Amino acid sequence: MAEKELQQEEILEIREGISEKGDSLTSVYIRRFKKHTLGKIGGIALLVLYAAALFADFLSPHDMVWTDKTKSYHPPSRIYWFYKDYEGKTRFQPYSYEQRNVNVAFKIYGVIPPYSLRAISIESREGIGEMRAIIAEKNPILRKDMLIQAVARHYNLPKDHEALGRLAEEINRLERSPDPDIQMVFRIGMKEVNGKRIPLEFHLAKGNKNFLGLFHQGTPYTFLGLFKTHTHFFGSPTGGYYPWGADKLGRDQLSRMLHGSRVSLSVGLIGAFITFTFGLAIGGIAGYYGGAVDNVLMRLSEVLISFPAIYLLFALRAAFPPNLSSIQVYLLIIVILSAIGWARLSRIIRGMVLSLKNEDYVLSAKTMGLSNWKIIRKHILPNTLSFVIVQATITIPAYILGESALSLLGLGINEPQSSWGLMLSVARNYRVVKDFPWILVPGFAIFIAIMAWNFFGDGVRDAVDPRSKH
Amino acid sequence: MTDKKKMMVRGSYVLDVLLWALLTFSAGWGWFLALIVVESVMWLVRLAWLSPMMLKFILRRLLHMLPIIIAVVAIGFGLIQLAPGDIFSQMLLNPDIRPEDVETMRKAFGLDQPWYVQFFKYLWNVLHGDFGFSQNFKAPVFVLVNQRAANTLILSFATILIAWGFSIPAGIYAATRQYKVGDQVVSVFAFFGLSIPNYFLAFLLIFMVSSTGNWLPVGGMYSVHISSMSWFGRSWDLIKHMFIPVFVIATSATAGLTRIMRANMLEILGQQYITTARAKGIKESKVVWKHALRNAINPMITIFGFQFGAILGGAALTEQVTAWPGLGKLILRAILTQDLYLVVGSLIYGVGLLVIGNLIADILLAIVDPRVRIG
Repeated sequence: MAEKELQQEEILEIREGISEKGDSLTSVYIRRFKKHTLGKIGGIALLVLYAAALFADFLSPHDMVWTDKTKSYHPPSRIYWFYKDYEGKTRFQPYSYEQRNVNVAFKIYGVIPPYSLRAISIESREGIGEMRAIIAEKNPILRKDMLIQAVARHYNLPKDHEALGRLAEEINRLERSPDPDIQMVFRIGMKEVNGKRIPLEFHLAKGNKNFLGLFHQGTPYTFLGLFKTHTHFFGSPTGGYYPWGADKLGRDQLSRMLHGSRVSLSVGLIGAFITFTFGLAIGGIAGYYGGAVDNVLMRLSEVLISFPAIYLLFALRAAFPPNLSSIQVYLLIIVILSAIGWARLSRIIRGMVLSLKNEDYVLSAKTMGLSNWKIIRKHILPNTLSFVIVQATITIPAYILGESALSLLGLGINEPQSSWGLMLSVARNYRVVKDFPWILVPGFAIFIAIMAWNFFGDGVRDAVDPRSKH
Repeated sequence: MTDKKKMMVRGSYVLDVLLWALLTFSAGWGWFLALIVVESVMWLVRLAWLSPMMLKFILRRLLHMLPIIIAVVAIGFGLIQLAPGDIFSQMLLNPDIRPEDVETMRKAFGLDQPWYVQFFKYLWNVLHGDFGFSQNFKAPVFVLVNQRAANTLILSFATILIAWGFSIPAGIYAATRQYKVGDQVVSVFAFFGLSIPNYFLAFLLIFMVSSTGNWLPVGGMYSVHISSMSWFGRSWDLIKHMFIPVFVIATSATAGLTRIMRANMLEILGQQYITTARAKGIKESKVVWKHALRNAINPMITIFGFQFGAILGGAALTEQVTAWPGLGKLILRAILTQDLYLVVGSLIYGVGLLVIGNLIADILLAIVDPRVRIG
């Protein structure tokens, strides 16, 4: 019987995470959190993400403005493990190809009125036809010319100046005024054509630049603000190796994402810190003092809450000049997010303070002559801590989203700075998404970061307040 | 409340449905929306008629809106005053327009007056139903905003329908199978839906659609040749265009609601009267659907008000990336071009929608939960 009781107690202890030893509240919370698998996964993911942001300089192959303009929209580089040597034997040698910038021009057209294209006599089969031509040209300025020549070559047109000029005019005219009947779209993009082979060499190498390896000497940076160095974790000093592809300007997406994560991930932390400072102070003051102060503060928060948050976000951002420096924009975003966020928080805090301020220990503190400020700070606000912790894990991902939304719409971080939302903003053109899907990678980063915060928050909530709803 | 009164109210519902069907079929979607507005007003009237308490409650809530509207106008004005330049600043850069003409236009528009004069004049006009004139679109703000808000409301209604239609059964399903496979699947889906940013999901869908042969329109609200379509064709076209934005907004809304519904249901299912009901041998389905559900759904209705705001917010972003001509897209454009009256007008409209959403939630709660009605 006694044994059974003990077992019951143990079960209770395991379930509630409370032991008889009289642990501190924090250690109880930590013990409970450790039992939450998803919470732990989220926590570890967050540690990895924030560590990556901290060491972004070192981890990224290049800095965020490094560019190779000939590699516009370079697809993600694949790593090949085996190759066939000249004897036809398969050998183990990891390598990657430098993708060559090959322009693909292709045209989709519907009904072709005879008058417009007679000059170049395009034949369509059954009304719908397709033309493909591949132009290998590294110089982007020559693209249009090459495109015209490719069309001419494809249809065996005369190569003289006049015919090409006429063709160019025709194409220009069609592009400028798209008649609903003629759908003629020329798209210039990239095609994966393998160029130079980049062998993988896992050693510290100097001199020979055509390699992909660890600890290469690349763009200079200051490591954590301590010392200057050139050493990056991995990559190729000549470029050409883009693990997650390149953007329009031929910048390495991985590097930009790592640098951008500093902005995207820290906005949430700093913004939440400021919001909670103000929310706690305002809610505490309003609840504790009551009366006119309470009335004014709460009416103000009511007005803020009655806006759809995103409209207010837009309007607040627009009230400031668009061309601010990057650090100013960064601070502005944090301030705007906090200016909207404090209202809801302070209302809840006020409610909690209202019920707490009549507790015996507050009254006794008052009779002992403690100052009001000290009572709020030392006796009332600490009691809202578990709520605040839980709320923070909800606020931070919301702010990460807010920053990315602003940057996505061109109201946030501007070029050449980087943030996840800003990188995604090219995706607003669906043609770009279709042709170069790897520009969506930053979106996955946002998704993972928010998911990690949600998991972590879930774990924290269960640990801090097991009976709460979620 | 007499039985006769009740009968009359019921009779009016039937008439309503007939009217809806007739008008929507014969006159199209514009009427459909107009009817929704008329319908909500009629609902309020009916409720007020049924109980004077409700009438007082509704009137008080509507009066509450007045100071908020004044504050919104003030904030809108303040923000635009803070922003450098005005809508005519761009014109000064155009060499074809003389600076004197710009000054004349400013004068005609009332922008030369000090801000407080502008503010009170505008406030006076707003309270008389005149929301000013958009310089950018060359149209009255009221007309513009109405049109765009209708587009946003179409999205929101469809989203709300889908989100509630999916989340309540899903929440019940998960709660009745706590920690089993079905519950885990629902929870994982809910986490995904909560964590994926709206615009990113839209990008993914657009990518999927456009790389598999454009079987759905990926942007805008109408096809080019909409005017040559029949009524059915137009409706189908609208539904096709709605698919991506509604899917995107509904995913996040459904995820949030499902989690809340599951938690509510679990809490209710753990209560003693449920155990009592089970002990009495009542069928499990009856316990869940009759005893638990009615109590679990009450908090959901309060959430409806908040959710409406979230849906408007989600719609604002999704509209940007799917080129849906809604209120969110309008307001961003107005803000960027510093179209003062348009900004303030659409802000008021957005706030009004939110307040009305909350009001509807309160009224619904009063209908469902007698404790609220009496207390």
